[in-house]
Amino acid sequence: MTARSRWLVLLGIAGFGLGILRGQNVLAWSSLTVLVWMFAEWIRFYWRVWRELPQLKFIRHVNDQTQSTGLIWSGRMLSVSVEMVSGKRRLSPLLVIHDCLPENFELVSGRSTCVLISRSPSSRFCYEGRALGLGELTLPGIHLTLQDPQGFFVTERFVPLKQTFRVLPTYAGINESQPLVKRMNSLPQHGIHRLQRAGMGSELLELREYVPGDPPKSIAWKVSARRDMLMTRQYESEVPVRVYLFVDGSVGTRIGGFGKRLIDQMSYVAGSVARSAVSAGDPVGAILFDERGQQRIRPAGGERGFHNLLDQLTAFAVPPSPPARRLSPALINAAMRLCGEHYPDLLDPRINQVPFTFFPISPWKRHLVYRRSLLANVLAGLYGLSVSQIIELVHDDRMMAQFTQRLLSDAGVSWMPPLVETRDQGFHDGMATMEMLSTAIADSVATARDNEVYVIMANLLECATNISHVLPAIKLALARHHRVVFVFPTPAFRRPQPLRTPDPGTSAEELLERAEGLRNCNLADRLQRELRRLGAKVALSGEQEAIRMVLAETELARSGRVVFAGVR
Amino acid sequence: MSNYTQSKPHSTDDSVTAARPELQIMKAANLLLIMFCGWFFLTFLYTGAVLNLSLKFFFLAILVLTLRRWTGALLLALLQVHLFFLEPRVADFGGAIGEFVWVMTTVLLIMAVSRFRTLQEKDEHSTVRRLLSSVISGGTNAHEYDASVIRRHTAAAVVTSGRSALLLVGCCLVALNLMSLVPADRTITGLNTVSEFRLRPSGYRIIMSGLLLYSVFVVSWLFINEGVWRRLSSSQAGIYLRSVLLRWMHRDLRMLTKRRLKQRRRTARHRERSVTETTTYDSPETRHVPTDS
Repeated sequence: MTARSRWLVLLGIAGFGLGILRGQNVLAWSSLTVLVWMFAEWIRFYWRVWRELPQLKFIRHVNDQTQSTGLIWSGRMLSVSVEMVSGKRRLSPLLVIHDCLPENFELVSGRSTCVLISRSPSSRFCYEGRALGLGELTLPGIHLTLQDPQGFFVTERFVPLKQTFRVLPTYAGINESQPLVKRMNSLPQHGIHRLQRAGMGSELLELREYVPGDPPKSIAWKVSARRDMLMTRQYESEVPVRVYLFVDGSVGTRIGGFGKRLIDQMSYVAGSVARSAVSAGDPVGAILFDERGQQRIRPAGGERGFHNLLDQLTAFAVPPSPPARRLSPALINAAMRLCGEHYPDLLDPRINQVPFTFFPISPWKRHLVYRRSLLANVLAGLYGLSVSQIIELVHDDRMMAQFTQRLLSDAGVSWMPPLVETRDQGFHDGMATMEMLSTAIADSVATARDNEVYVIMANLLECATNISHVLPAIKLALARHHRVVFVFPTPAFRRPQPLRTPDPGTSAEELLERAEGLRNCNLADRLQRELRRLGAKVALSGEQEAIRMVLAETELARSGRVVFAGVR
Repeated sequence: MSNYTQSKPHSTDDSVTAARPELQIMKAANLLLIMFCGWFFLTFLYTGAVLNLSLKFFFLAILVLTLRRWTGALLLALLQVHLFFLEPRVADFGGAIGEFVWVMTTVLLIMAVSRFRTLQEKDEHSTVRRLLSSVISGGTNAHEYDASVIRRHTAAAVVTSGRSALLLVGCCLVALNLMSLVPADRTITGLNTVSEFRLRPSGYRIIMSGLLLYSVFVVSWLFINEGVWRRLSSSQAGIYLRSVLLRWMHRDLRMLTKRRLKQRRRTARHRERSVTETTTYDSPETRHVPTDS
């Protein structure tokens, strides 16, 4: 019952009473007619709720598919259409149908809401959008708002229509730079490259003196004749170039809106590098590490290997349980908004009853306690909590925060305030990341062969001053003749540029932006200096230039040379 | 969300594309009804009052503003005020045609205003603004719809309005019957009210009518409530059971939980303090080195 109808009922009762008391029959009659009419509308409304709502059926087509699971690519357009049909009778107005969209979905055209104005046998609406970040995209269901034509009575329902999609990362199709100088005498097998070490390849590495035991076939007779001593041809080795992608999935990389997280940026680079490597026939592996441990994906080539890698990256990018935080009114509000959209029938005060208490006396505080109790009951229903745990939820902030975070996280809410607290712990997070990274590199070096390319994508910009913690592991990798390339994602997705503009602007935002830019620039310079001194390559941000740099380094590893030359 | 922590995505203009012509036609139909009822009341309202013209202008202003801001309750209140002050008190009541038309127009006006407001909430553009822009542009930016679509939706609007009007007629007649169930000059059992019950007839009538209406409401409410309970989903039933059980045992459980929480906090604080003390003692900066003196 809405406020509109409450006022009419109140006036109807007052008018009817006064009319009867004073003997004014038209006043009494008109007021009573209003009451009878509202009563009839009430009965009609409940009839619709009982008869029509259960018979509604919804079908959602995502790219013409109705399966409950599927695969999609981040950033690519999705066309969604929702069809609603009634089992037996026609649909009566007014009905507002809203397809609930998660945060990871950006609406591009059309609208996810349809309003049914007149009676019709079915209804259909379409919209287009795209998944913003990789991980998972769940379209939970349809939110229905049923009301009578006058707006006197309203009820809300949620019809679950869950479709879950794995969102694969997008990648850049970068044209590889091909050498213009012919460097190979024979065409090797796809994915096999030169390595300037003694081996059984076809390219000459060096000539050396004959040693007993050398095969006679390898004796260079002309040279031997010139020098008057037996010389043996030493051939280069031919090996595959394995590319290892180290992807950091620590808390700092997951914070932010979908599509703007550092992990999205790193996955974009990883996908692009993997695509390029697989095209060249190189096997690509990955080491995904975060607070939960590290996950090693064995190097594999071909389309199957590439898609397996993307699939693992996607699974890795699905947010785990968020880090614990303190309970705040914003967290409760977000959870209540979510419940209002996904579980409106569970918030009905006739179902979800809150016990009466005298305290707190202040109406505002009472309201807060009331909302919290409603939420506690819903959480108990969803997660199967007992009655004593409901009371604990109401009085224990820590427990309430934990379950509220779980609710929001399950609904696909991004790791932003209020779900995750913004804190200035970049340095500490970075130290933990360095520990994990060191372990991952050392483990990888221990099991690796020579001539591998390590592409390390980690959030280390915040702890550039203490990069020395990770240097031993890098030195170890370089000593084993691996090529090490660092890609540090930046929050702005752009390479930090030195700010040369003299006028920084006067507004607080401009000054803050400039200060942040300067800070990032200094950190990046320091980091680059330290790592380049060792011989590692460093790229900042997930721009295409960073991908090109990684590809150039991979190409260098393929050519078997130390420096990059002869390439346009 | 989008949607729970961030702002909602910007809605696009082609929102209710499928429903737009029927929405406009329904709104126009309700607007016509409001205009008709408004004309009726402006003609007959406050005739004979001292400030006749001013009151009519006031009613017109409220009527126009109701389309934008307030609900039909304000219009009902104005009509009731008119009847309260200007309607003659008569003992006999037969439900004449004039009275019937007045009652029907009153309810029709409230219905049309409420419907118009509801449809307006679903439309993103104001009707007045749309009309003004159409007039200013000479009709160039008006939407062109197929004649058959307009005809179909107009017919649907007429059918809907006719059905609603029939419902209102029925409600009028039911209300008339309900009023006549309790006679004005005697009790239901035929006794003289003043001598038998020491009550004024109007007082007796209002009590009896109130009881009658209340009993009808209670019976209906019982049926509806029963229907609601029978259609509870399992999740709703679970929450209902938990919340009712919690309501019954709330005081005891709250006391136990609070005590447990207090105990837990105290233990945590004690542990924290002991850790701090140990750390302070062990740290070389704060270690007290005893001197000989």
